[in-house]
Amino acid sequence: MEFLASILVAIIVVELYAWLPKIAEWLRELAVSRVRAEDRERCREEWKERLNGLPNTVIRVVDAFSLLGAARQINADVCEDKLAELNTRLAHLSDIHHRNCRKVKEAEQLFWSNRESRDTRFRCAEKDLQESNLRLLDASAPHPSLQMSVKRMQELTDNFVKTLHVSFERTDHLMEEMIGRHVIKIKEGEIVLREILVAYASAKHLLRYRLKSLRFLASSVADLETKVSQLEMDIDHENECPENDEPLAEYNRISGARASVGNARRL
Amino acid sequence: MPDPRLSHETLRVLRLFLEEPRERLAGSDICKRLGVLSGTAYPILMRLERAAWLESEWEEVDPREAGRPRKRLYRLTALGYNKARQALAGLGVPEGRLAWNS
Repeated sequence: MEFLASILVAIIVVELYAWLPKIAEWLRELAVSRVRAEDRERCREEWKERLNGLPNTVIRVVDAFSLLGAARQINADVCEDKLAELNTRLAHLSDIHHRNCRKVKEAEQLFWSNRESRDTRFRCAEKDLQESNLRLLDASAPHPSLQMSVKRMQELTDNFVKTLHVSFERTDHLMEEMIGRHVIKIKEGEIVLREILVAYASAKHLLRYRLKSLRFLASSVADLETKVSQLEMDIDHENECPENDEPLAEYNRISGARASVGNARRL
Repeated sequence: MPDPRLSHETLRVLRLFLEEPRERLAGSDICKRLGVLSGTAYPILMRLERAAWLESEWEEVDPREAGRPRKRLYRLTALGYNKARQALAGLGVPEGRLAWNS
């Protein structure tokens, strides 16, 4: 019985020993499959050379087994580098976003203060015009034909003032709309930026404490990278050139028309 | 690219390169000379290469003629040389080959 058992054990040991090179190869391929695609060929050849250089098959298996750890460490390092790079990009984006916020706030304040001073000046001008019209009417009382002309001029002036009111209202509405659109873009950008920052912090935490499979984490990091690229484009649009803005073009058109009316009146 | 993490094993690898700064070493040579497993050496080499402290290229042999796969040969860059010297000096580790071993 003992003799049979020893023969059986010997057979198993011989079989296992014969399988060791295959096991080492399988472990190496498993490790290679775990690194990212662009490093696979290089790792395959490099690790094959290393394992072939080892004299003993048992050592070879142990070394091949350690390659699984190597693949894990390489993935972790790649994730760490990517996260460091994303951190720099996010800090830069955050700076741009804050600058955009400030610019839009300043533009909004400027718009309101300009509007207020314009309205004040306009009211004064309107009052002066009414007073001078009254004086003209009084002065032209002895000359009926002149008074008729003065009344006609008064009507024209009233119409012009009304047109200016309408054009101011329209311009204000367009400017408010434009500023509102920028504010919405800024707010949306801020929400996405916050979401990405939370995702970044969570990925960093997961990587630090190795709480998730590194392959899964690598895909999360890649996903994060795509989101950051999208955000870069969005934040770029947050601050899009106002010249391209339709309302501003409309505003310029109205200003031009108003200037033409002014010139016509002077002539 | 930030400086790589300098673990004990990383410093050993760097010291090995500083012994012969112009020498090109394969991963397998490094494992053999330091007596470490591949699982320790290769991540360090790749990390140092990503940080541009090391550069690597394939050995110029035909694998069929040589009867073995090509080696990937690593060498210190100028940046790596300076950084490695700084790192080892900062830790008070003598650089270069030890008199005992030479």
